[in-house]
Amino acid sequence: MRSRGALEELGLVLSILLGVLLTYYLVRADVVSLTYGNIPLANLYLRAVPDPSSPFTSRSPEVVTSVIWDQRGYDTYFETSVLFIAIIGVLYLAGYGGGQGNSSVSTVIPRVIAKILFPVIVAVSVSVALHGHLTPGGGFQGGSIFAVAPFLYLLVFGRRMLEGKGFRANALVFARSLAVFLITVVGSIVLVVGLLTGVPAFLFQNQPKPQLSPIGYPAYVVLPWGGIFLFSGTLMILNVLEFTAVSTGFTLALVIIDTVTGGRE
Amino acid sequence: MIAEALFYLIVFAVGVTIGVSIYGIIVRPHIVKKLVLLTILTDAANVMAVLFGYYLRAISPPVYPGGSLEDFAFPSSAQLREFSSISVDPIPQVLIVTAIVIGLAELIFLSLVAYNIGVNYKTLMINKLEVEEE
Repeated sequence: MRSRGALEELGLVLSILLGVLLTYYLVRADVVSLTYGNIPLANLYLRAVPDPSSPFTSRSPEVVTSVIWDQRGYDTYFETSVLFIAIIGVLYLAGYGGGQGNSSVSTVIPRVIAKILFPVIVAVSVSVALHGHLTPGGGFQGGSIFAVAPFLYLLVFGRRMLEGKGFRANALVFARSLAVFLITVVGSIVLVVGLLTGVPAFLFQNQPKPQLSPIGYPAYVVLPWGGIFLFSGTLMILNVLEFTAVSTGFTLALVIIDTVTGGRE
Repeated sequence: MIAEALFYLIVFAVGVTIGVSIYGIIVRPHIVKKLVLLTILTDAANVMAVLFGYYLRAISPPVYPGGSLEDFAFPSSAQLREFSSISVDPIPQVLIVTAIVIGLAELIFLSLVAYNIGVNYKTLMINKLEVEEE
């Protein structure tokens, strides 16, 4: 028993040493550095995304969202699929539906606070998702913020109240599957149009690319009263769909875990 | 000078956190402790990736300023060159956004697996789980 404890201490020392060595070599190789500027790939993204004359443009000021949905669209699509499959796996493991909602035992203070906070959280999350192509944020971030609101209700009021608000497992599965399906449709619609009209096009293409593909989504629409409405092609559409997918997915996982573990006692 | 010292202190602390959480995942026998340490490892790796993108001149997020739903003046190439010299690196942030969602999906799945192990075997200690041999 004594030697086992000594072995564990040795392991702790070794793992701290691993962390120190990791830090040392990252600093040594200028990966973490205060003076080394951006790498060329970062400069390529930062200069090409907002620039309408570049072939890799998305006509959006937000570089992060644009790289997620335009320049690295495949990666994000399959990442969404990973989340989808994980939720499906949870449903399978948990045996979905069933279980009884229980009454709440919260006092009046958390009830009132939860009722005040619920619309605030929803408004913030929708704003983060809808402005994802203009300001920091996007579909993932907005969806993750949104999942806090049903979680609050689950803790304070119990699952029965949440289901009364419309967050039923069937509806959530439907919304989630529909959102993932629509992401596929939005990503492939340019390719289908290109195949039908005989011009080259790409999967998950956003803006037209000179010399490569002449078709794509418009960056903005001119409104009847003269102004413009900037939505940067696929970015805003995919942000809204991803917001639906992530928020319903997390809410569904919370509801399922609450069902399996019997909720609050 | 103090800012640089603080920066490297943060990098060092994150590196040690990564090391200690790897130790905990391997050595601690309790499944829930493994899950907690896995979350800490994911978050520490994400913070480390954010630190990759930072440097002293970077004072702007990777968002070109001035965009709104009604109006956005598309910048010229000189303005873009200036913007790219003061903006942080967007690539780690892109990777992190996907990593966080995948990490949460993984955590949800693993916690359900851990719950099923706890229900079926009445223990969450890995070293008390026994394989039945025929």
